[in-house]
Amino acid sequence: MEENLNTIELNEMKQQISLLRRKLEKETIVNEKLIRASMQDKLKALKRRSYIECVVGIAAAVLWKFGISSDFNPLFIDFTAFFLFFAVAYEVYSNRMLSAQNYIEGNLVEEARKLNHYKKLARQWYWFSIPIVCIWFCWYLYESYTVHAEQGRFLFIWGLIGGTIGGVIGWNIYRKGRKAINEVIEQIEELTGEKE
Amino acid sequence: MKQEEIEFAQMVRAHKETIYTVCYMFAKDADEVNDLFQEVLINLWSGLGQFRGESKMDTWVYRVSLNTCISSDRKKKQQATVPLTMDINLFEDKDEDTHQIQMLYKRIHQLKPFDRAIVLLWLENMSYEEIAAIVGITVKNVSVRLYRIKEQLKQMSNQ
Repeated sequence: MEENLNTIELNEMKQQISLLRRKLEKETIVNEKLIRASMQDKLKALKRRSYIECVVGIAAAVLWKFGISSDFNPLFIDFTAFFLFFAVAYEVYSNRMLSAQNYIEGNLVEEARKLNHYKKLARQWYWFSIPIVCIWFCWYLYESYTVHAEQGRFLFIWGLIGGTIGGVIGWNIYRKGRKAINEVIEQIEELTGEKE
Repeated sequence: MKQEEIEFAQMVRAHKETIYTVCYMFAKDADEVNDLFQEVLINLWSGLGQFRGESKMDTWVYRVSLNTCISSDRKKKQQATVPLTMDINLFEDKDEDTHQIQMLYKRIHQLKPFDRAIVLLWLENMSYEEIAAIVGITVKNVSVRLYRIKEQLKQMSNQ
């Protein structure tokens, strides 16, 4: 059966890939700088994002609890600090499966599954955190009005503008990312015959 | 350079065609090839110490390259990458050889990501067992999948 399908196009493709290899053989492609940059980038690239998010989250929570917010209601202060700590913990939890080790030993299906699980956790976080952030923001405005009445209007307007722009950009990024993930999920289902 | 770094540089040079081919087939443009290439190198460097030689080096390089390209989150990569050193541009050059390569790219790029990986491995004359191990499906599934991919490729040519 395969013989019948091995028609001109397939032989042509084999020739084309050999041509590509021959062409690449003549090229330097990688220079010393690129190799060095990759070796130095190891930790930075893999852990940088999580590390920064954790440090910023913890610093913000500590600063909020013991610094800038002393005029606000203690319940509001504790709620905010707890939410920031929780966000850091969730980031650490969802990132634990994304290690370089996976790329080295795992197969394509396993890797794509892990990545999709990670994205699923990120999606769940969106749905959980957006309502909380909205509630928090309203609470913040209320607290601002009661503590600093003259700044309340300013905070409300700029908060609304910033929130809307941020929301639109965030939703767009989320939607595009989701399209690419769905393609990979569909293929895993097709290949393994299992629903994710 | 330390011994490990020298070995890494040698390994990258020896397998540059494999890495480039995978990145090229998964990228939309030259910039994306650049990003993916560097990401593959970072993952290869991270894993070189743990490579136990259970598989052939070429198979391992393929595994890491394909894993990186399939799972890559393109939006994350805003960091500057060191450009590749190439006198040719496989996306834009107009000579006959490049035209042939672009035809191959067009065909493979129309396939879904996993099918792209399977057909690339097949074109490199890997056995069904090797393809199954890299992709993570059964040997039977590889043969069924390849049959469908070949049909798809034939249809593309007929269009």
